[in-house]
Amino acid sequence: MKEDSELILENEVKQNSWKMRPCTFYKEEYKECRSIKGRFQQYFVNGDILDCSSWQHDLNDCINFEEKGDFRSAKRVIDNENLRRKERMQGHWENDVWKKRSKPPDDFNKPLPDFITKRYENSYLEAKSKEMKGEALPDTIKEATYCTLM
Amino acid sequence: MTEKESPKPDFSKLSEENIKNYTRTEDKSEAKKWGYDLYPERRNEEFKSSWTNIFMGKEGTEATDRYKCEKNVYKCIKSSPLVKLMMDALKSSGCGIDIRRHISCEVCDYSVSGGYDPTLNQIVVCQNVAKNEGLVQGDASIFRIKQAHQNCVKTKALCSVLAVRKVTAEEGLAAIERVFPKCYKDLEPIGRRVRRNSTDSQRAYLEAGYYGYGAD
Repeated sequence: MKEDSELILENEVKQNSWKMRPCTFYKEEYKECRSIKGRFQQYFVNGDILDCSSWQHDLNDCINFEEKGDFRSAKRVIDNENLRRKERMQGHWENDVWKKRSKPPDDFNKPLPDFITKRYENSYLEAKSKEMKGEALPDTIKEATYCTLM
Repeated sequence: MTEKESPKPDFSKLSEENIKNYTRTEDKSEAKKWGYDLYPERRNEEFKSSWTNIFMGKEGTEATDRYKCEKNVYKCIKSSPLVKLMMDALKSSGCGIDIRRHISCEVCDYSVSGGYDPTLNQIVVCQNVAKNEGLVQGDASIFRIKQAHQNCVKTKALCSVLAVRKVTAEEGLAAIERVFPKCYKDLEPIGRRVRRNSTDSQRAYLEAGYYGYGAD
């Protein structure tokens, strides 16, 4: 019979397990953090090298959880991920230089002026755009062969 | 994407009137002030190359340049993790990019390599300037490397500002310094400072979903 605290822990982990990355991800981050080029980048940007131990801990905990189902390990990873998310988003939330929109601009998709649409009529991007949207290509594009002398 | 609030005389007029109004003299000086003169194909004008320039190999290849530019654009949106990330992030904010409607390859002034036109909502790629994937600018020397990244960013920002706004370097730099502390810390939607020649961009793309920028 599991204790309540264990059940609570298990629930918390199950609800938040999506925050955990695949273990290979932590391995990659740890490798990058400790690499020479990575260190150089840290010095270049931050003025100092970073502490890479959190990636190592998360890697070990991730493996623990995957192999043994240890919920305490999972909780540690999830807590670290929460911390990372907070640190990353902090700069974004505090940035009030730009006035945030509540919706896209009304004219975002407004039709372009005629002289521009004429220019685009048989262009490469016109064909690709239609292809991406699953629309049929007009015959003029289907038959076009892009042959240049250059 | 958000729009910066700043006093823009007649800017709402510019967005509604037809682009051919740029040929009117009063709008020409207005156009120059906001950098629109650097993008001549935004006006109702076909690029006219001169015979001398064609012989010198500087002009005359506009059609092929445009085609190559568009091919590069398509390649980037299909394979570049950062471009894909930005497009996903824009889509999840309600601004899905249609590669024909919102991207334009054209001939520009050599001082710019691209830009964004907020009146037509188009990303402009300068086919005659941005010919290779990935432009690099350096500002740090081996002896001044510590935290040089910030200076690099400021320098690049200053170049961009001076290219499209008629202000002095001092005014430009002052404006950058005013917003720098907050803007520099905001890494969204990429979420990290990507190191060239590393797998940073792939990892940034892979974790986009955790931050709400997933493609559906």
